[in-house]
Amino acid sequence: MSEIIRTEDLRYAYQDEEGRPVVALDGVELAIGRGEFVAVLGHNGSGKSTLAGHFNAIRLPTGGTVWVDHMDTKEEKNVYEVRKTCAMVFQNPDNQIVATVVEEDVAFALENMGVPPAEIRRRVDDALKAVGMYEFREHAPHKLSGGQKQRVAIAGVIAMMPRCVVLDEPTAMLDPRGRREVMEVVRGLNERFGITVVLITHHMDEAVQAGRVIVMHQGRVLMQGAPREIFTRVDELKAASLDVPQTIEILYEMNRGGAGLSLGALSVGECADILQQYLAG
Amino acid sequence: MSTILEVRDLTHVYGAGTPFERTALDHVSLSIEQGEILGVIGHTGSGKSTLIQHFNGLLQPDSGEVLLAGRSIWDEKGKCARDVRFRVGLVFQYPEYQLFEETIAKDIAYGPRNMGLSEAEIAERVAEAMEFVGLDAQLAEKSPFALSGGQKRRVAIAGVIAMRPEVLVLDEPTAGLDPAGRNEILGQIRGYHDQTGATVLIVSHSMEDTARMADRMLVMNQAQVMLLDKPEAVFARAGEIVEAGLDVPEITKVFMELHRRGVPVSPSVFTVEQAAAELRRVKGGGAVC
Repeated sequence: MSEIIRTEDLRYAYQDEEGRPVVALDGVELAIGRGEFVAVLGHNGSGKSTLAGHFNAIRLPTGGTVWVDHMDTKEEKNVYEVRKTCAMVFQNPDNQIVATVVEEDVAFALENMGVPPAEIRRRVDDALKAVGMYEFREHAPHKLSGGQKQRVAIAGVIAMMPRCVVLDEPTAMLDPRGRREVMEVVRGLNERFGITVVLITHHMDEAVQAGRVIVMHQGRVLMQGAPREIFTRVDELKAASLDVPQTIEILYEMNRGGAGLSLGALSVGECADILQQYLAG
Repeated sequence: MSTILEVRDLTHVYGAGTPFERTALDHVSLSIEQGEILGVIGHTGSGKSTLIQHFNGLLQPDSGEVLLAGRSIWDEKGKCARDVRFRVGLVFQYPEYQLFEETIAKDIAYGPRNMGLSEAEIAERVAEAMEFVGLDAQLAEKSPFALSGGQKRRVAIAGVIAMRPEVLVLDEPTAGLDPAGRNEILGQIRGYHDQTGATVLIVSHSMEDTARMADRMLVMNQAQVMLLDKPEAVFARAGEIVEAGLDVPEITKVFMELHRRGVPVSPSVFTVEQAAAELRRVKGGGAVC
């Protein structure tokens, strides 16, 4: 698998308001392959959002290098192409909607990119259909629910046809229904369109849907691997102030009492299987 | 136990007479006990936010009554008693966006100052409120805008606590926080409750945060009260709650699944500790529930 994002010894430091240096990223080495679905976990201040900002040149490294589709993000001539390649969706839907009509909002970036009108029409319609918001195309965005607004923001990104989408806690401000809607769309981006997805999240139930989980801690990659592999490392996750899915936590808890159960339960069904067997045994 | 807040036959309609007319509260009646922690849950549009905005007179009922300590908060002339705003403190969703003062101390002092308290009293309340939410006293003269999001939220909560409200209502106080930040804020809210004896209402989409600390839970659905009971009793009806579009904790889903498969466990667990205890009980005693 060829890679779409690669970081080499990525460092990012800034000064706080009193002039003290703060190291947000401290030598991150990562490679993200084309078509991957990667979730990035970490507590507040772990560096995960700072990392995400480097993937579309919102932030530039103060040390080391980030390549997006083989383009060095530090080179000013690459910035435009980097942002077209790797688009970003933010946490607060209200901060990223600019137009007064849904379809105009989705068309905004395309107009800026100088896409011909007929092509804009087609791409906007396709993008709105992909996120299930086509029937709302003439609505006012401010009357939509949080989940709907976030799907419009994602449609705006899809319309640009990026190869990679980075989502920075896209569901943090949504209710359970909105979260489900958005996660369905995010999975669709990856599965149906083959777009590389980098999902920054606090939610373990979202991270388990990814192909690979990267855990950030103190500006470094603490661990990475398949969700099943990562979430069974309960002690290390807790040490990094992270939760584990409850389906694993209960098994871990029972094991502390010597139950000797397998920890690899990422779904309700898997967990029930293990517990049912345990109770029957 | 006495009743601190009571709602009688409360109805509220948004956009009455327009094509957007929507009944947000439909003949709701309930009583909230003095000193309890009440979890208020319901999905978006269930009426929970509309309900809490009636508790301190931000919204006026279209019909029905709201009583604070036995007295209607609205007088015959349709005016809301001013002290209701101080006695029932409302912390909105994402309150960190409401900070506006130059320093943290001034921002927290805004409410107490409006109450007409003396400077000495205001300073004491600011210091006390900062302590409740775990803000270092040295931060008092700093700009609130220099803080992280989580700390800004604490400043906003302190601004309400500084009024020493008898009823503290928090709308989604942990939204967007990581697990560590979530536990910290909930611990501080519990501390405020334990030390002052205030009544605390925590509004949330999810049951997980609230179930742990609430004495009772109010489940709103389709503009009406669906359930108002102890957490155990509410979780015993987890199936209905899921149908109402609410999320129950994953661990509850696991136990509902086991129960459905005929395993003799109680489906109404909502924390991992309870689940472990229930498993040990069933494994050890072989008791059938």
